Amino acid sequence: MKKTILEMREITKYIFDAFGHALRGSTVRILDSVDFDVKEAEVHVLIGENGAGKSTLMKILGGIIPPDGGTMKLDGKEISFSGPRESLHHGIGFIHQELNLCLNLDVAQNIFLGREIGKKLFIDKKNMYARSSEMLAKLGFDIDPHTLVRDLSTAQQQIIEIVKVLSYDCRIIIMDEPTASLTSTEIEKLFEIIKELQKKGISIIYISHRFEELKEIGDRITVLRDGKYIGTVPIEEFDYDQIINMMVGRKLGAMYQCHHVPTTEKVLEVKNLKIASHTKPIDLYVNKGEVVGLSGLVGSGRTELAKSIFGSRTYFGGTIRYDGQVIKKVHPSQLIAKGLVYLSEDRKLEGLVLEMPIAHNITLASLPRLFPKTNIHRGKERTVALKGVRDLNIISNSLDQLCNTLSGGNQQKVVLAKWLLTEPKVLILDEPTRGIDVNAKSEIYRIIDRLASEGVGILMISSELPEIIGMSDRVYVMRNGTISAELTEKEDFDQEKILSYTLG
Amino acid sequence: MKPVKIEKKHVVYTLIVVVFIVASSFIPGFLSIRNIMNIVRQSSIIAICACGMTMVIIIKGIDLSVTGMLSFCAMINGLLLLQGWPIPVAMIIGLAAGTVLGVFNGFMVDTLGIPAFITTLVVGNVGGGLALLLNEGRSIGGFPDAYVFMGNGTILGVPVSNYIMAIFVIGTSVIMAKTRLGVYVYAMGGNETVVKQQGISTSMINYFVYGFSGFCIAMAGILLSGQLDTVHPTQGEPYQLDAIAACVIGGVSMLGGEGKVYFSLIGALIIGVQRNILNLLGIHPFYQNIFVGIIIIVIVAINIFKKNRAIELSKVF
Repeated sequence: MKKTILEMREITKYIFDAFGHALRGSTVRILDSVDFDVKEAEVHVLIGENGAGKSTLMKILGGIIPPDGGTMKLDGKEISFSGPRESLHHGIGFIHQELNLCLNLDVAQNIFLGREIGKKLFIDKKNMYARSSEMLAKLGFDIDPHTLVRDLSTAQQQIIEIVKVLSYDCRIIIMDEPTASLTSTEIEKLFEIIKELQKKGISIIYISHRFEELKEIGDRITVLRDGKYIGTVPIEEFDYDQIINMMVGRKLGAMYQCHHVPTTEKVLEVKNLKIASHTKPIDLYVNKGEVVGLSGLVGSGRTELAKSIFGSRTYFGGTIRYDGQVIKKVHPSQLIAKGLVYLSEDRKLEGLVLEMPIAHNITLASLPRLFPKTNIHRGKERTVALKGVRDLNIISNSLDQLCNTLSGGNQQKVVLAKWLLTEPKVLILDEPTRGIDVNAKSEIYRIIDRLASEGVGILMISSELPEIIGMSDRVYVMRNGTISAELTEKEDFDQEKILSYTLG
Repeated sequence: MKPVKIEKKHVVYTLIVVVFIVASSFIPGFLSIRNIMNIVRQSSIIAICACGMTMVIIIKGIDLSVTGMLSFCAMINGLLLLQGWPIPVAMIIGLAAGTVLGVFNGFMVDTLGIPAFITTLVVGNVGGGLALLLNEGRSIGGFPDAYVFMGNGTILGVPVSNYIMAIFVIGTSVIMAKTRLGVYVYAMGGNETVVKQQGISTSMINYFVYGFSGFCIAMAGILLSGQLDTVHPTQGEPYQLDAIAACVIGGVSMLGGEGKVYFSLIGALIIGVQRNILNLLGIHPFYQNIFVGIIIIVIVAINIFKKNRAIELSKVF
């Protein structure tokens, strides 16, 4: 029986801001009393859907954000971290999905950044490069430490991260989706390293979406769902259906009301669209009055597809037809004028001017239509904005309230109001309910349903399966930058099925 | 399909060769030793400013205080000289003034979080104002012979200015290549988050880089006053754009993280050559600024275009 070295008990975290502090007065739990432990020299796989809380849990372990409740014990001693460095000194290394390297420095400089070998100011280059080679050779790699990290492949960059983490004498290494951008030979190489590390007594926490990998290297699998601990299964008892069940086992509530009836008149049609030079072409269409769900993992190319249609991104061949016309090389503003709009994934970055009042934000996209003669009539602007605020039930003090003081749900409704004011015929919604509370969610679903009844074609991108299933008339699933499945019958909408197309 | 990779240094080398061939075949007197030494001497002011500027741009900053600060430090130094202070003491005070103002820039950027272009522009303007105020807008001149020798004299046939420039360029590249500080400067330009995660103080880097830039500007100002035997309160003006241009032509990326001091030196020499050529051709100096400005814009635009394209192409699904 292997010894347990790390125990996390009843870890709780409320929804937090960019600095990891809990939002004031918030009751939404991202992590709800989650238990997690790591044994010596094991590969412990952590899985769950997007937003299940895997990353948050690991960020707490990595010292990046503090927990709001619960305890962590390392070797039986209680620990808490004030920052990532402290976690590292306790022997916990974190390899992020977005690698944390300086691409413009060479390998040795990256490995020894902040701990350069040498007296006082000057670096003992000879020694440092020799040590780096040695460390790389130990893992069986022949990479010249003088190479710039930028010139390495992603897999090699990952190896540099691993070497860097190991040089701190780490006993636990967190790997967040390490294979996400690796080729299959690179993945094999990575697995060899992981097994090598295991032999040296190092434990690995491995986050991944790819089932075939888990069976190959995992020892135990822990499933999280909606911020809750669901269970831990030893790899010998691995059962595909059971794991999927654990990941999705959610009940669909009465949140989703579908009164709209889709037509068969195509309003948006995409043929052979390639979002990158190496991806397979995409075919897709949206009818009038239809809600089409676009499911898939974050990073599967959903947003890129939407932006390609919206004209804010260059794509690699294919035709887009909107309202009977082929649209080619158009600026988003022309499409907005014609009634095709895109509600972005990140409302704070791309959806709102946070420092501007609600009224200005709502009318922002419709100014050319409302005031064709350039000067803005503030009175009319307020009337129009007020109508939007009432229609969508945006809760605010006044039309002059700045958008950065609104809650997430109300911010999202402001963005929605802005786009509805442009009187769209096709609305592309990218994660319309991300990070907003349940009430606001159901209100947004009602708005979507109402729009569809009015004949608007809706393409809804979402990571949340219940939402996709509850709202859509038809579902596309995306994987690796292309559409991997189309489900046309409502009876086929089922979490297990969609998830299996998503994961491949 | 892999796009053809054009390295920056190749562009720089080609530029030099082309400029030299064109110049020496069309302009009589261009290739004489005297003229070339003269070019290097005039370029030394730009090159010294570019030493500090290179570091500043590598950490994604910009130093717009050259104009004012250059005149201000030279003015302090010049006034002290005229009052009979010993040359080394006056120079040290002048250099210290530049360094202090530079560190102040670093403080504003790092601790107060004010964008570098505002901070440095304001500090430069204040410096320029002080330079005017110190001598009520008048020029000063008539410095001691030994001081003018530093600007115009030669040792073994090479202008003293060139030795000073060499010391600055070599010193800066040693810092950048051999010391921790140099690595941190590059690292900060590459990925600031990583630097912070490694527990390195980014404040220290900011203070050092802007302070060093101030120091270089002060030295350039002092050397210029030696070369001209005059300090005029606005004589720093042309060097702002030239210092940035030298870095950009030398391949320092305005997006940070990339650049070498000796390439910036070559950039400075290219500007020197270009000004010399235009002078020999009898073209009015006003055109020269337009020319330098266009070169900067074109190079930066190409740079950013390439970078954006590389990001888009590297996306994997």
